[in-house]
Amino acid sequence: MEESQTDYLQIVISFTYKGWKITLDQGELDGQIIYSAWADNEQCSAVAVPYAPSRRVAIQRAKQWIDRRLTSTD
Amino acid sequence: MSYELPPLPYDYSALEPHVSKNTLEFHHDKHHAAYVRKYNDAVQGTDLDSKPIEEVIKAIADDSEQSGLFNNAAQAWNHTFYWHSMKPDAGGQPTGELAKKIEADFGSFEKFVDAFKSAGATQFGSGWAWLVLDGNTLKVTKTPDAVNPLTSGQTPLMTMDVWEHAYYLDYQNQRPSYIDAFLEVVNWDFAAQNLAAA
Repeated sequence: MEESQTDYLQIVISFTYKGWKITLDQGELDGQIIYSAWADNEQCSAVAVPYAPSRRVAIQRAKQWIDRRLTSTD
Repeated sequence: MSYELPPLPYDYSALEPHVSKNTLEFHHDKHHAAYVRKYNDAVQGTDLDSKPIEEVIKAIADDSEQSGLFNNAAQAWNHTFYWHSMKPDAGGQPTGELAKKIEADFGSFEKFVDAFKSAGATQFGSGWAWLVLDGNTLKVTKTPDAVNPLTSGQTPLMTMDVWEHAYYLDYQNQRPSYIDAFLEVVNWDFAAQNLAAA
């Protein structure tokens, strides 16, 4: 068993999109900066984008995740 | 009662090549950790604060006003259960009473595998696939988002996370490849222990 080296979220930006709060978290993978995006509303907290190579891509894919979510629950 | 993030029950690289060190580091240290922290922040100061997390999950599963708390509680619990549903040098087939019961309730181990793979692959969007004891019968179920079988009176025996964050780094959008990989590390001893304790 290995001791957890818990790397809590390193939030770089947070904003609201269609009623969801999108939060970008910065991490490092093999020496490269990568981003995850969380999507939160009153009912759900989800890792909308697990890994993205840039803020732009993370934001774009997080918005797409929310759009799909809204479409599937309409 | 705060819920502590448990350490992984094995080394971060112990499940390679099926589940990578990078995936476990991100999945456990960031994603699971965030759910635990969000749960603790949300439950603190409420009437539920003194209860074990399993009781909180059951108590608020049908309360739409508590869906945010439920989401984080269930995700915190589900991930802990998921870590124990895998172990190094595992996979293969169960033995003993669990093997007999799978044979009896599914017809064969191969039919169980087909059902489990199908549940994981067809869970739309984010969720979980489970082997559960429902009454006295083993069943495969799938649940969306954070939902878990505790809320429907079933006893979870083992689970597979099919949220994208569980496999994207290793398998991109190839969820079926991840499901095959999971079955290479599935911890039948854990499932057998849960069956024996049910």
